[in-house]
Amino acid sequence: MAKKFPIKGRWLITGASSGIGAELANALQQRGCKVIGVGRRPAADVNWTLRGGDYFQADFSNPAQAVCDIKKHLETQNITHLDGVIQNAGLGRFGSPFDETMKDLDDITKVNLIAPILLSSALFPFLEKASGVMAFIGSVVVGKSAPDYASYAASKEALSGFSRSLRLEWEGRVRVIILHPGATKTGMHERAGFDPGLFGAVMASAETAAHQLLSGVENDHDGGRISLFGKLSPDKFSKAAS
Amino acid sequence: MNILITGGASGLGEALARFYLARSHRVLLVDRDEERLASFNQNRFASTCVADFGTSAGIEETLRAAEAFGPADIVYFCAGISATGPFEQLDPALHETLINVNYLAPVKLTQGLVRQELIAQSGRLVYIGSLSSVVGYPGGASYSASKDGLLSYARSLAPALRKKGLFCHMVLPGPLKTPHAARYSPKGSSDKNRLEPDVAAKEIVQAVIKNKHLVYPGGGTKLIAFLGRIFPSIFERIMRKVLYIPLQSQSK
Repeated sequence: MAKKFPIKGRWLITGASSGIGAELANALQQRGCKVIGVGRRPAADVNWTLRGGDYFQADFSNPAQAVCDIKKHLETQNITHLDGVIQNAGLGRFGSPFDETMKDLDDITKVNLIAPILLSSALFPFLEKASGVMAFIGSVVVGKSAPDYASYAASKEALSGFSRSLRLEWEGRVRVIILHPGATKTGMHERAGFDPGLFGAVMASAETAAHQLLSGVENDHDGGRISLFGKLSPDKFSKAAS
Repeated sequence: MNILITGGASGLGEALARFYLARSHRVLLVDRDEERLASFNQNRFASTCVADFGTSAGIEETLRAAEAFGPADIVYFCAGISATGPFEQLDPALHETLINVNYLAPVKLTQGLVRQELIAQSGRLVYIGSLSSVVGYPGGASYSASKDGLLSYARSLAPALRKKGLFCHMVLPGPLKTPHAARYSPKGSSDKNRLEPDVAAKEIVQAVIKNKHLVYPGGGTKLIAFLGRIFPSIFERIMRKVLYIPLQSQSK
């Protein structure tokens, strides 16, 4: 039986201004956690209520600067411990790889991959002090061929490789986990230039996804995938490249 | 044939370059090591281009050189760096450069070469990944990320390339007997289990000719690739013991 790691204390969420991130913030607050939300949008545009929580703006399209801002923010709040971090900020783009602009490619890679790598490095001391957990949000496309969103899928598969190696390194000090949501009803598809059409009816709601993700974190279902209808299946089988 | 090789001045790239040059094929070698590239100046089949993929100019310089060279029949993306050691102790600045060189550069170069029609008809793009995609790489977390990203991108690119009559291949080598391996492995580790780059090069060339999408050079690599998919946790444990623990104790 998988060990349970109860979710409590202070958590930091990236990509917290909307979508899955906002729902994760809500779900964590429902469990009595203190939430620090980081997002691209100004605080006035953020629509989740802060119950003893905190939200501030940082833009991961300049990863080093954003990570610096986050560290500074934690320091000014005299925060030294974090019980959990969920790296959820993500960007997508739908279309042919040969129509992709350098900027699109750079933005997707910076937000989805480089920022999580840098933030992991910066937040390790905070997590180590609380024996906390570093959680990454991947995607069910990891391991699959994605001709219409190649750089998005690649950034998530790269994140998955990073998480896997980091989990082995930080074993016994900080728990590292990656969870893979499937298509979820958020603004990401529209921003990526994709209209889900009828498929939208079977996409999981962001709220369902958030609860499944937290359940996955608690039960340490590393590599778990959220399938259609919002069910989390733990990845018991090989995570290796195909 | 016309061959374009990034990272052509040393290691696997150099082995591939020498293979093709010995058979009188034209080779464009791209590398940041100007000194090592100069050793190819006497060879009438070799063209060279100094480019550093850690800079934004690197891609543009390479595309300019590729234009002057003419459409390539095969492109080998060998240029790559690493950053090894306990992750939280590594200089954070290394990671962004690593992702730029190992993942973004081959991707941007691919997009540029295809858009500017610098790949010949039925041309092939060969990406050098790593066995770390099968067994993990504790001690080389951002390197592991970059290679998994490249593996994924090549997999997604294949259908789009086929529509243009082009093909791509993914090579997943284990440790090779190269300066790269010596630079990034734990100090004092033996190179006796590392594959000779020219042996790897010959295998890769053959696999490309035989149209194999995934290539594992070396018998040992093939075995680990096979077993590593069935028993990933066992190999992850081995990698942790053999790579991460020595790196960790050396960093103290």
